[in-house]
This record gives sequence, structure tokens and C-alpha cells, in this order.
Amino acid sequence: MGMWLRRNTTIFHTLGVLQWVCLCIVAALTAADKLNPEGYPQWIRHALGLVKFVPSWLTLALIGMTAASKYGRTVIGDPKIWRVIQNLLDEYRDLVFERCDDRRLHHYRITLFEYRRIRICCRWKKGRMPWDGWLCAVARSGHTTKKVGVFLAPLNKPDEAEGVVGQIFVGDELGINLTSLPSITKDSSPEEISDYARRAFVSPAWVQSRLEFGLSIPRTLCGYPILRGGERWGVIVFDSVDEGCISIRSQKWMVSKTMMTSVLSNLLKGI
Amino acid sequence: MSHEWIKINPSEYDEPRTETIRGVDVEVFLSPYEIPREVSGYYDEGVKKFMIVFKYIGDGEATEAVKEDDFITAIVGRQSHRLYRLELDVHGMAADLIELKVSGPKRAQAAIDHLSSSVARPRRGNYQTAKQVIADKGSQIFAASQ
Repeated sequence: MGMWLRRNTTIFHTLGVLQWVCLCIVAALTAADKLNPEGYPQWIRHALGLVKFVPSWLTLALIGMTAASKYGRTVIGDPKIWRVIQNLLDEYRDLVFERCDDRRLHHYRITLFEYRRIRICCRWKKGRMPWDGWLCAVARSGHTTKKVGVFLAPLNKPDEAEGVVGQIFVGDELGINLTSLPSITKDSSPEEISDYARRAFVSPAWVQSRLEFGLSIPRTLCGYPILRGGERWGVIVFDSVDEGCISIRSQKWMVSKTMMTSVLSNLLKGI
Repeated sequence: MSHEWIKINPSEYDEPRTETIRGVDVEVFLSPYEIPREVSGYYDEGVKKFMIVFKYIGDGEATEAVKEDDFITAIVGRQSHRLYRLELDVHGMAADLIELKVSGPKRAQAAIDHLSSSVARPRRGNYQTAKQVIADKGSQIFAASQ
């Protein structure tokens, strides 16, 4: 589920209208079927007569569409809440990062990942299945670099979890902070890339592909799990191309983290 | 029943440490969901038990009771398994409320220690923090038993 869909008010409201229209038609058809036409005007009797020709599969299809629309709205979540979450991430970025250069805000990011048990558009690979469990980005601070990859987080094979985000999710109750990952550029040797990949829990091919596409390679990665209703929901990750820009022992981090998580948890209850 | 809530400073209970994950040394810290925000102790006249209640970020989940021994019951989150409440049967323990102020913190800490073996998926970081909170704030929590 892309981040664009989370903010798409049109799709969310269209599904809402579709849900109610289908529900009203089903209710009208059911009521008309049970109504005695005697004593009603000619045009109503005619309309009630037509209802008898409505095939039962159409009623079933309408019920199915009502359920599908409702499910779709639940999956997407209320765009108003997603907008508030976006603002929350933007506001807290300045508080969480120790040194935040205003001219390069995309180098200091907060990304919210949601766990999905099944993801059809996963990265296909031998032995990897859509139902293995995936962490998909649903919100990110700022207005740039919104295209975020997905990370594997298989609960039945936790050793195969990808990235810091995957390790945090399968680890459950601990946050992870990596503050001095090696600097990787296009000139880095395969050994340096392998060392980075090992320390960041990703594959060398993942690092290589980011370099090929000109994407930044984070040197600071920090995050912790997010719960909803007491259940593991996803992970929040703070990343930067600068090293050591998060100080998890500082009072500022403690206060910001607690406040942000508290607000975020309350917002997620409404989705 | 109104009772006093004691605020908890998360920085006192979240000491980052180094752990090795898949052969890599990483700095780990407790998720903010594991550290109680507030704690309270009060005697519930209705059930004749002394309650130690913890408040968390993102609480409000369904809970279940885990009997620790004949006199202490732990109430944990059904999903998160975080410790929400400890119920101490003061009269069953053949103690009065004044004695509880002395023996209560130790009994409560022992019950939390035991909780790790009673819950299917124990939340060790949370239980350890709750235990530490009782050790640090025991006098304030059990002040309500006077």
C-alpha cells in the first residue's frame, strides 16, 4: 500500500459513498420483496413488480461490494488522520535530530512502517512468498524521497528479517540505535559495501542498487516498535546520512520519543 | 475511587546497552511502550485487595488475569503481555495494611519475577522496569495502605 493511497481523500470518500449506495439498494430490494403491493398507487405496484425480476446474484454482489468498500476504507485509513500523522513526523524531526540542517531536510527522516502479513507486490526472490510478512512505509517526514522500499519481516523465520526495521519488528520490545555506520559512496570497495550491509542487516545488492539509483545511504539508523491496541503494528525509524545525529541518552530524545509515541498511538487507534 | 498517580521519568529506567544481533554489536534501548508512565497504589474496599496499577502509552487493550500465587494476581495485556496491575490479597496474606507497607514491595517484586515463567510470551523488559519502579517508589505506592 503506497503512501499516496493513504492521503487519497477521493478514493476514501468514493468507497464510503459506494458502501452506502450498495447498502441502501440492498435494503430497498429486501423491503420491496416483502411488501404487499395491494393498496399502493399504480406506479409503485409497477416498480415492486420489477423488483421480482432482479436476480438474486445481483443482491449478493451488492452485499459483497458493501463489504469490500468497508474493508477498503479500513485498510486505507482516514486520510485526515494520515495528514495529522504526517504533520507529527515533520514537527518531531526537528526535535529528535541533534543537528538538523534546514537546507537538507531529506537527510533527516522519520519513517513509519506498517506490518502487512500479505503483500502481493513484494520483491520476488527464490524462497520468498507474498505471505511471508512485510514492513511497508506508510508515512515519512518531509515532502521528498517518498518512494520507500519494503522490508521482509517473517515472523516464522525471524533470522531472515531485513534491515534495522525488520530486526526491530521481530525483536518486539527493544529499539535499536546504529549511529556510526560506514560512509558508502560509488567509489567504495565491495568489501566496504559488504561490511556496511552486514552492519545494517541488508544485502550488498540492496546497497549497490541504492548507489546505482543515486539514493542516499544512511549512517545513522534508529527505531523502535509501534503498538496498536497492545499488538505489534509496525516500526518507526529515524535515519540520517550524518553519523551520530541522534543521542538516545539525552533528555530531549526521551521527552520527544515519549510524546511522539503517545500521540501516534492515539492517532493509530482511529485508523 | 480517586487515588494519587506517581509520575515516572522514563530516562531513569531506560539505560541503553550493547547487544549482539546476528553477529553485529548494536545499541539497544527499551521501547517507550515498555516503560510505565505512571504508577499508583490503593486499597480497593470493594474487593478487599491492595492494587498496584501501571499506566502505559497505548494502553486500553483487553487484559487477562495470571494467578501468581494464592494471594497475588497479575493483570497483563492480552496482546502485549505488559503488566497492568498487581492485586494483593492483604487479608489472605494474613497481613494488615501497616504490615503491607513493609512486606508489600518485596512480595510484589517476587511476583513480577515469577511472571516471566507464568506468561507464554513474557515481556521481560517491561517486567524488569515494573519491578524497578516498585523498588524505587515502593514507599509512595504503599503509602496509600496506611
